This record gives sequence, C-alpha cells and structure tokens, in this order.
Amino acid sequence: MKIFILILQLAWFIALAPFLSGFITKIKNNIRMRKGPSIFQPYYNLAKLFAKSEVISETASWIFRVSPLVVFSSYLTASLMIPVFILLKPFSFIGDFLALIFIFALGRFFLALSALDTGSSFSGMGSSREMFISSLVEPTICLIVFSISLQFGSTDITVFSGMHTVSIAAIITALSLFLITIAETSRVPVDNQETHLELTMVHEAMVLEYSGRSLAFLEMAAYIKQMILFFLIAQIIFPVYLPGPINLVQIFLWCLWYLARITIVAVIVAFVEVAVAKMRLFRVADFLGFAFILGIIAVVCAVMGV
Amino acid sequence: MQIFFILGIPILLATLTFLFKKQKARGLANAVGYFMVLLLSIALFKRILFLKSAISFFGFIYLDALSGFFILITSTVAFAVSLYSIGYIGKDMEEGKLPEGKARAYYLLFNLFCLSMFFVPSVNNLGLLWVGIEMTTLISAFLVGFYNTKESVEAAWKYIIICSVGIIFALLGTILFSYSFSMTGLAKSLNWSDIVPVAHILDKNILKIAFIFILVGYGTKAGLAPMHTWLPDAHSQAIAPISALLSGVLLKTSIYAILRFGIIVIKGVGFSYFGNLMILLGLISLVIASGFILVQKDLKRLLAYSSIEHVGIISIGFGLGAPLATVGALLHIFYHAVTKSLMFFGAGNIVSNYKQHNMHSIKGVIKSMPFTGFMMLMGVFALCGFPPFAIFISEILIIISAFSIGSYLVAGSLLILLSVIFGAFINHFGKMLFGRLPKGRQVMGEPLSGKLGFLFLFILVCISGVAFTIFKKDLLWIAQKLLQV
Amino acid sequence: MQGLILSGILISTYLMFIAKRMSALTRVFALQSFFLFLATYIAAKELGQLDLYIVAGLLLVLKVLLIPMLLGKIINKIKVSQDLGLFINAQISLFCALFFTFLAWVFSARLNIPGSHTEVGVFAIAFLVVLTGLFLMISRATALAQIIGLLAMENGLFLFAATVSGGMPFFVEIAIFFDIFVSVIIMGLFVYKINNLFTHIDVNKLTRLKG
Repeated sequence: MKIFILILQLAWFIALAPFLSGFITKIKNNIRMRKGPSIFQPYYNLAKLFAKSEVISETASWIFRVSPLVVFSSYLTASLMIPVFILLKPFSFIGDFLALIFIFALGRFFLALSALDTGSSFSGMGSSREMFISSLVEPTICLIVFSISLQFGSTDITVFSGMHTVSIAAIITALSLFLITIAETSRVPVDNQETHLELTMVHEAMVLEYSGRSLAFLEMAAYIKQMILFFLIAQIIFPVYLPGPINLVQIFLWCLWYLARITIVAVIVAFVEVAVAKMRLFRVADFLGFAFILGIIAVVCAVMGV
Repeated sequence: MQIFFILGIPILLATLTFLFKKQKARGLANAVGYFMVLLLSIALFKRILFLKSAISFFGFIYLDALSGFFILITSTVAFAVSLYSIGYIGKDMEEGKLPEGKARAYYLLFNLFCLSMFFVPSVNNLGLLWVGIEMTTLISAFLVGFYNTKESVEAAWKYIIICSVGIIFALLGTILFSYSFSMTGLAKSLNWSDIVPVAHILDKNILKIAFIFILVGYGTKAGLAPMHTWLPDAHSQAIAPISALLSGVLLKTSIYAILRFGIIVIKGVGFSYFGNLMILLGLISLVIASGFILVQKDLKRLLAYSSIEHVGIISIGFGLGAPLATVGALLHIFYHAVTKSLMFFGAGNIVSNYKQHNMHSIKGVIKSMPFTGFMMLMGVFALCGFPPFAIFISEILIIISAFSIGSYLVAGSLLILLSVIFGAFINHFGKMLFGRLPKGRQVMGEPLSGKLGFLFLFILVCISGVAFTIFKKDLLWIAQKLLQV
Repeated sequence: MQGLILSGILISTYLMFIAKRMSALTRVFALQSFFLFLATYIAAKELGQLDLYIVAGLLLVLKVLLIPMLLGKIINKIKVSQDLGLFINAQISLFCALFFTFLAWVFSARLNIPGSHTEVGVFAIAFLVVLTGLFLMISRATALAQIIGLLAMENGLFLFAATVSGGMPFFVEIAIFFDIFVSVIIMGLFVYKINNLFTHIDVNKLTRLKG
C-alpha cells in the first residue's frame, strides 16, 4: 500500500507540474486580456522536445550531457521526500529538510556549471547572475528551514505535514518563502520567463544552449521545483489534515485539497507577476535582502514562541 | 471656584482679540485680565494652603498645594508679560515689522498658550496632563516661528520635532505607570489621586523603567541636558515676551509633570532612585550650560543656556532630598521665573533697539537706554545669585543642604560651575552694558507699560529676597505641605 | 486571526525601513494603521465595549484615511523630489531593524509581564514600532519622513496601551487622537513654511543656528 501511494505521489508531481506552469500563464494572459496559448501548452512543448534530436556544441564536455539528468533527478528526489498525501514517513531515510536544501543546491550547481561549459557568453552571463541570486537565496532558505524546524521541533519533513496553528512565525516564514519562490522559479520581479532578451534573462540564459531531450528534462525539472516550492508555501499557510483511513476515497480528497491550495498560491503568484515590473539586477539584492531579514525574523519569532 | 475663572479669563481674552480694533485697547484689556487672574490665583493658593485636603471638581480638576503654587507662578509671569507686550507689540507695529493681522494673532496665541499652561497643573488625570503639555508645545511652536524668518522657522521645526519625540516617550512612561496600577486589580484609572495612595504596592521594576521614560520625555520639555538641544534655538528665536514665558513658565510646567510622577516613584521605590537620577541630569545640565555660556555670542542664546543651568540647579535641589533643599528648589522655580523674565524683557528691548543679537556689536546700553540698562545690570546680579536678590536665597539653601547631608561632590561642583557662569555673565554683560555709546545711537526711552512690567518683576525679585528672612518658618511649612501630599 | 493581524503589523513595520520614496512611506504607514484598526476592531467585538468601537472607528478615519490624504496633498503641493533622503541606506536599515527587533524582545521579556507568550510577543512588536518611528526620524533627512516617524511612534504606543492595560481611559484616548491630528496639521503647516523659505525640506541643511 505504501509503495503504491509513493508511486502515485511521484506520478502526481510529474503529471501536474507542467499544468501548473500553463495555468499561471493562462491567468496572466487573462488579466492582460489576451487569449494566449492553451493550458496544456507545456505538455505539447515537452512532447515536441522529446521527439527532436539534440545539437551539442563541440567544445562541451561530459558535464553538458550529464547535467540535465542530474538536475532532473535531484528535483525528483526532492519531490519524493516531501509528504504530500500521507503522514507516513515515506523516504525519510534519504534525509530531512536540510538535505532538501542541499539537493536543491546540487541541481543549481550542475545547471550553472553546464551553462559555463558551453563557452557561450549568454549562458555564462546567466550562470553568473544565477549564482549571484542564489548567494542571497540559499541562506534565506536555510533560515526558513530553521524556522520551520524550530516551530515543529525537528527537521524531519514529515513533522511538517500535520496540523499546526497559524502563528506569526508561520506567516512570516510563508512570506519569506514566497519572496524566495519568486526568485527560485525565475518569475517577475526577479527574472522574466517570457522573454529572451539579454537584459532580462537568468534561468532562460542558462538553458539557452540546450535542445531536444536535455531541454525537456531541464524544463521538467524547473516545473517540479516550482511545484515543490508552491506546495511548501501552501503547507505553511493552509496545513493539511484530513484524518481517516488510507483508502482511495481519502486519496481522492487529498488530491482535491492539494489542488485547491496550489491554485490559490498560483493565482497570487500570477497577480504579483502581472502587477510588478521586473527589477534591475542590483535592486534584486534589496528585494532578496528583505526576504533574508524576514527569514531571520521568522527564526526569532519561532524562538520567541509567538 | 477661582479655578474656573482662572481658566475662563484667557478664553475670554482670546475671543476678545477679535472684538477690539485698536492695538492699545487690546493690550490694555489683556493686562487687566491677567491682573485679575493674578489676584485670583493668589486667593486660590491661600485657600488651598489652609485646607486639609485638595480641592477637586468632577474628579477632573484636582488642585492641591503644588498645583496652586504653579498656577501662581504662571499667573505672575503672565501678568508681567502682558504688561510688557503692550509696549513691545506697539513698537514692532510702528516699525512695520508686524502687520495688523499678525499682532492680533499674537494675542490670540498668547492667550491660548497661557490657557494651556493653566490647564496643566489643574488636572488630575495623568493622560490629560500629557495632552496639556503637548498642547503647549503645539501652540508655542507658532509663537517661536512668529517672525517667519529662516532662523525662526528652523528653530520652530526643531522645537516641535524634538519636543514631540520627548513627549511620546513621556506617553510611554505614562502607559507603563497605568499598567503597573492596573496590576493591583483596582479599577482602571490614570488619576494621580488614585495612584498615589497605592504607590507602595506597585511593581518596583515597572515603576523604575517607567520613571526613566518619564524623565527623558518630560525632561526634554524641561530643558534637562542631554535633551536640551531645542532650547537655545527656540528661546532665542521666539518673540521676546514669549521667550520670557517659555523660559520662565513652560520649563517649570514640565518640571511639575516630573514632580507628579516623582512623588509616585518616591513612595513606591524609595527616594534614592529618584534623587540619583535628578542629581545626575542636573549636573550634566550645569556642565553643558556653563560650557556654552562661556563661548556664547548671541544675547538671547546666552539667556537660554542660563535657563538650562537654572533648571539643572532646580533638578539638583529636588534630587538632594533634604527638606531644606526641596524648599530651595521650589523657591528657585519661582524666583528664576521672575528673574529670567526680567532679563528677557531687557534683552528684547536691547535687540529691538540695536537690531541684532550679536553681543560683540552691542555696546553702551546703559548710556543709550538708561532704564533698561539699569534693570539689566540688576538683573545680571540677580540671576547670578547675588544677595539681596531672590536667587541667592534659593541657591544658598540648596548648597547648604548639600553640604549638610554630605554630598560634598555635588555641592563642590555646584559651587565651581556657578562661579564659572557668574564670571562669564559679568564678562559678557559688562562689555555690553558699559562702554562708549556707539556712533549714531541716541538715548531711547521705553514705553510706560514696558517699564511697568519691568518694575513689577524687579520689585518681586527684591522683595522675595528680603521676605524670606522674615517668613522662614512659614515657607518651610508650605514646602512640607507641597510635597507631602 | 490575531496572528495574521500581528504579522501584518510586523511586516508593514519592516516595509517602513526599506521605503525609498515619500508616497511609498505614506502608503506603508496607512497599511500599518489599517492593521491596527483591525486589531482594535476585533478586540472591540470580543469585549463588546462601545468605546472600543468608537476608538477603532476614529483610528480608521484619522490614521488610515485622513492623515495619509493630508500628507499626500502636502507631497503634491511642495513639489520637491520624492526622494526620502536616506541617511542610512535600505540594507543597513534592515540590519538595524533586526537589531531593534532583538532589543524589543529583550525589553519585553525583562518587563516580566505575567501572561502567555503572545503577550510578550505583542509587547515586543509594539516596542519595535516605537523604535522604528524613532529610527525613521533619525535616519531620514526630509521633514515629511520625520512626521511619519512621529506618527509611527504613536502607532506603537497605541498598540502598547491596548495590550498592556487594555487601553487607556476613553476620553484620554480621544484626546490623544485629536491631539495627534492637530499636531500633524501643524507640522504640515510648518513643512509648507520651511519649503517657502528654504525651497527644500531637507532637515540636514537646517543648520543656521549653531552654538
């Protein structure tokens, strides 16, 4: 039974991740009063990419070929560690929250390295910008994780999935995580996914040299990362707790509840993307600095017990 | 009963400014009104002294001997200022510095200002005390920036900002006092008369922290260093009669507020905490004031720093704790108010005659304005503590009691600093008052009303010095009554 | 619910530290006052006292609507650049915010309030808001920022009074409200005067009176 639920959770993540991205794009286009591509466009894109062959630069080394797989598998492992449906401890022997941070870092490291590997200036620029942003993002994620752990008493992720009260610490953690999510999922005001202009690319610049299946893997990895982060935010603000025996009806309800929460977070993200203009890179430091301070405050509030 | 008239007459006078057309009539009505206020407050004070308990109306107005004393001080100085301003405003209007509308605004603001200063000692509720003091800040800000020059607007802005910040700290302290009171379980109240009887069971830690906030907050308005930075600017840029009111009365009103809270703290925590803080701040004020007085170039700023010095002396007097020192401090409040007003009147005359503040350019005052020069000469000696003038009495009381209770350090530093200040004053004023008449200046007279104002104060200064020796025992008894409430 | 409102106040306080333009600061101040209004309204509903409702209403009308509108009018009329004149830049201000949070927490823990953890937390937040106002007055060079700093301090004190002693007596609160309103009007008048005479409102340049 457990194994079945685990596989279901994995399939759920993989299946739903592109849909989330398409959903956010749809909302944004609705606000902008255009029709835009359909919600399932990311799926079509992925299907198209899997069918195409790859063009690899001659100066690229093995890192270039290996990176997409490493990145994809790291985010997939992270998605295994998060208890979406059940209060059991599925793969907790892999690690806890701290391991989650480092697995994210693994993916990011390989992506940046591979972008440098091609020798193209655009990708190198994307790498340097990504490293700059992540130097501010990673400490904040650490602080957020510490705050969550202090609130629940342990760094084990499964502790997180139970019921908990919405305290000041939780709300500030959620806000800090929200700002970090905007940075990590390359959304306005930190990065623009929709354009390929030199001024505004960070993540898109890093994947610029990829094509075919590798690009599909990288896109998929980005979608899964987005899904994980959205889920974490939703979990802090709307904790899950649907008691009952583990049967199919229960799983169905859990899926619905999960979808509902993710939708709310997605709508908020879409509104933020439409309402705000992209910041210049040096101002991103201000923005992320604010998220960092909020992270420290979250830890302080958690220690205060507020 | 008198308190309603004391509060009502300034309101009446404020509305009357719109009725009278001629400037002189307005000024005269003002002076008459404040004379009546003075008589009423003397009667009130006498009545309170001989009553067993305090007078209270509607639980809102609360008059005990301390309030009566401060109301008396306010009305004395207000009367003198109203006499002086007839002449001063008249002269300014003749010279064209003040248009008609501004002169009317002056009287309106003056009356509102006096009203707020009468309001502060008469309320029971500590929150309303705060509101009253904030009102005095706001109204006097207009009077400080009255001439609308760059310097005066700058001074008024600094005054408003620094005093408002200080007052917010005072509000914090008041809230903490209210909190400690609410912990006793009695009905929630901010009335002073409710808090004092239970002062000994209030939480000591909270009282200590609250009093520090109160001291910093109301001490800003009182001119205690290091929160005094607004004082030289505001008092030097304000219009001259108002400088007298600011220095003489407004500082003392804030000291009244500190005293009210101080009585609660003394009863709750013990005297040494209160005393040490007051002595510390007083000494710092004295040191800073003496430093700045030595190097001063501006006449009115000199007098403003002297106010800081005297507030420091008052603070030390209250902090020493001996009954003699307390008597000295209370008397000093009154005597300094009167003497400083005298000096500011003289400074106002000098400045409006010589058209500038800088002391190095003002020479030969005694020759060009004999009356003012003579008054200033006497005033300098009075301010520095010469016998037989009043301030000598209060200072000597404080010094004697400092020696008698054994705080030699305090007494010694007091003596040294006072003599430094005395030397500086004689130096500055000697250069100003004596000397040859500068070219192109002729002998000027002053208007009669101005002279009357001067004379009134001068007589008070002289009499108070002499009267003390006669009424020694009564004054001690009065002081006991004032602080034992 | 209380957690949400308190975190709203906390976050708007931190937003005050990084505001770089006058209109942004005014808006954040209105936001903070709005959360304060929500807190008072909920307290009024719980206790059912009429005067708390009136106080909440006054808070809404004066601090959320009227005073920001007044300040906005002044900003429009005086035609200086919207720059707040950050003496201490935004990032260091945020570090100062951290330091103040720690200070506020230590102070409220020391005060020994008998009560649950939330009491200590609200105390700390109130004191933090007071320190924020003080910091704004010191580190921002325009006169308008000093006015908003003063108002923020008063906000903090209001929160303080509400937690600590269940609010102050009714007429005292009303008096304090009107007092603050009048002082904002008067300070606005003085900002006009300063602008007329000096053609700027940079308080660091008001240095004619020295010694």
